[in-house]
Amino acid sequence: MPRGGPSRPLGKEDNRLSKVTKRGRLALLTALVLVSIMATGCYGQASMQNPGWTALTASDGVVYAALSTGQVTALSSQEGGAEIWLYPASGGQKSPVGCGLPLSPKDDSGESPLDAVYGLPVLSDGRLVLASYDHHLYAFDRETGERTLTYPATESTLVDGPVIGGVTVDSDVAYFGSSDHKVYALDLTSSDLVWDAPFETDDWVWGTPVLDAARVYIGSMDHSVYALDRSSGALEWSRDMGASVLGGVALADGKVFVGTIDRHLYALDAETGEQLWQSEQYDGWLWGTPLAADGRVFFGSLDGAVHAVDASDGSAIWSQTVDGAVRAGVVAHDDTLIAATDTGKVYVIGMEAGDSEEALAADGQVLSSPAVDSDGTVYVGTAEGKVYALDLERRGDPTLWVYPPDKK
Amino acid sequence: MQAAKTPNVDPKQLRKSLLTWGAIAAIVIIGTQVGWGTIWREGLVRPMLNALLFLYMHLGESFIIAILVFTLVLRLITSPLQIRQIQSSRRMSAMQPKLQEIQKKHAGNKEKLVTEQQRLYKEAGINPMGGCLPTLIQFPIWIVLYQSINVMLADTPIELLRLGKDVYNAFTGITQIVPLESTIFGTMNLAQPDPTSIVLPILVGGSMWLQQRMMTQPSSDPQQASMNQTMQVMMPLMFGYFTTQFASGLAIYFLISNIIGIALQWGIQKFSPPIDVDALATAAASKKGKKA
Repeated sequence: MPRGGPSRPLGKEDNRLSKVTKRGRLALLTALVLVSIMATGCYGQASMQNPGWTALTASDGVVYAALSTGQVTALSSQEGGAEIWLYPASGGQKSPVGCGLPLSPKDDSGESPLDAVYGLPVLSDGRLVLASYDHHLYAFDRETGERTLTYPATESTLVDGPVIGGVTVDSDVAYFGSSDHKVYALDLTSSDLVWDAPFETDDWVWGTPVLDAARVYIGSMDHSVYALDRSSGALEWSRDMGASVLGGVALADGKVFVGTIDRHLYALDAETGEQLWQSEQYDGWLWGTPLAADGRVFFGSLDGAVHAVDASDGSAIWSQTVDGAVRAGVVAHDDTLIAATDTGKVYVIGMEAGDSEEALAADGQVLSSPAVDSDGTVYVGTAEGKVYALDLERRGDPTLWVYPPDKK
Repeated sequence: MQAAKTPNVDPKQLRKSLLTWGAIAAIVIIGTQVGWGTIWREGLVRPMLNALLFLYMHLGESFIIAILVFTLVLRLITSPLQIRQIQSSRRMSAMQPKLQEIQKKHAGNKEKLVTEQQRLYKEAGINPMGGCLPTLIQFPIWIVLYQSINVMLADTPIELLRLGKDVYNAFTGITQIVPLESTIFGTMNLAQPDPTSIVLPILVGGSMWLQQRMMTQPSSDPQQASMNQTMQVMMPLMFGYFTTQFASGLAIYFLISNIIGIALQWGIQKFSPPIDVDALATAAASKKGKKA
């Protein structure tokens, strides 16, 4: 009998089985590698690299944007979003491998892209001022994009935590809070701190401060809202809200309006901090800075809704459901509101009745407040680093231009 | 005329196969209708995240204790699979002398060698791939846990946004604990990688190596032996590297999980009776006889 003769058919079968086993092992190894890649950050939010979003402001036909790539730019609206300047000139591209790693961390002049900027940039006396997750506040020449101020100037612990909220500038002084639990007042000309010491809370300060003639109002994740003396930083009053205050507070008609993660909006007396009212409980956290206008307060919630309440007693006027979480504050545009969501939808909502219309489905999440220029153009930035210019009066597609332009 | 041969089908096996394929079909239909993302989020991420938050809140607001208890519970749930994996590994190990014997006998005939190996596995009731299943099942758990820990220890707005969207509204206590205390020993931020870049990676890599070493049994198949060796070195290195990139909180989960795995392995090796391959074969044959 030839060797292996009778067992030949069986041998083929077993070879097949053996191959299957080998394939199984190979599949296990492949699965391991894939899981590793996904887990180390080439997938979704897994990376320890800090993902940001696009925060912007607009004035006189120019939109200033801190992009999620870490670059800062000024775009001319009249020229279809053409770059007036870009800081740094290169270096914002992401690695094709993913993982949030920059392809070229520095440009020719040795400047690096910033870490994430979450707070809205502000314009003040020819400067564009913003603060970053990298514990620094920056100022740029608004005409040229030259970086004119970095505070602290060196890697120091003067600001010992990421700055998540925006900066408020008045009389050449920048006020901001940090995850180091502190609130700062910085003289932008001298780069000196105005107060003897930063005001210290018990937890992260992620909100943007709001000012009146005498005080700075700001919320903290230690559950409190604080009113500080503008000139000295001394505590005037504080109010425990019973839950973290993630975003900014609004000030109007002697009242401070604040939303918290217990899903209520509150009104406090700006003089004393006494609680005047609390709204009904909504289905999602309140994060974005409320907007107070015409005796009403407008705000979004993470469950995907925009609400209007009476500023005098907090009674509900209307609530409008939208597609996606409303993280940022809504902005006013004539007699309408512009609200953006984390599904990339931008809505125009009537202030009076809450009737809504979808204006844009952006290519990416919109997590910061839109900006409205004096000519009525609305600008929206996405977490993927795109800027949309919208003319909401235009019939059909309101998009005027998109930055960066589509390569097609 | 010769009657067509009908395959000998075991009704129990058929029912089992039908149930398995039915379940797979049901999952695919539900997944395509409801959306895989929704199933992932509602079925895995949200329950796990909220369970972790619940433990954190009720266990002294300590992340370490919460993760320890959570890992223990997870290990308890997956322990039947773990035990099966370990037992499978032990059986394979016990069969090595017989496998070596077959290898020597059929050294020149690969086909025959494979046939005999398969026959031996079958007789002893061992599935050579059986040990892989528990590992594969644990992958989604690791990924979900990784995502949950990142969201739980949120220190950026995007992570906190996910927490805000994924936490159950009925979980009213959340307002008291957000943001979670992510600092331990005064300076170590669990949301960031190990600041020393060496302590946790070594602990994670070392404990994983030990666990792998305890679990990997000697193999007479050179290919299998080579793969085992590769895995034994690669896995600890990979996880050690991950630890330098990941939030320390996740590294702590890996460490605790490895320690529990080592203890489980040690316990089974210590207290289980030695495996007799002939007895396994007899048991498998008698099982087959009963079925027939």
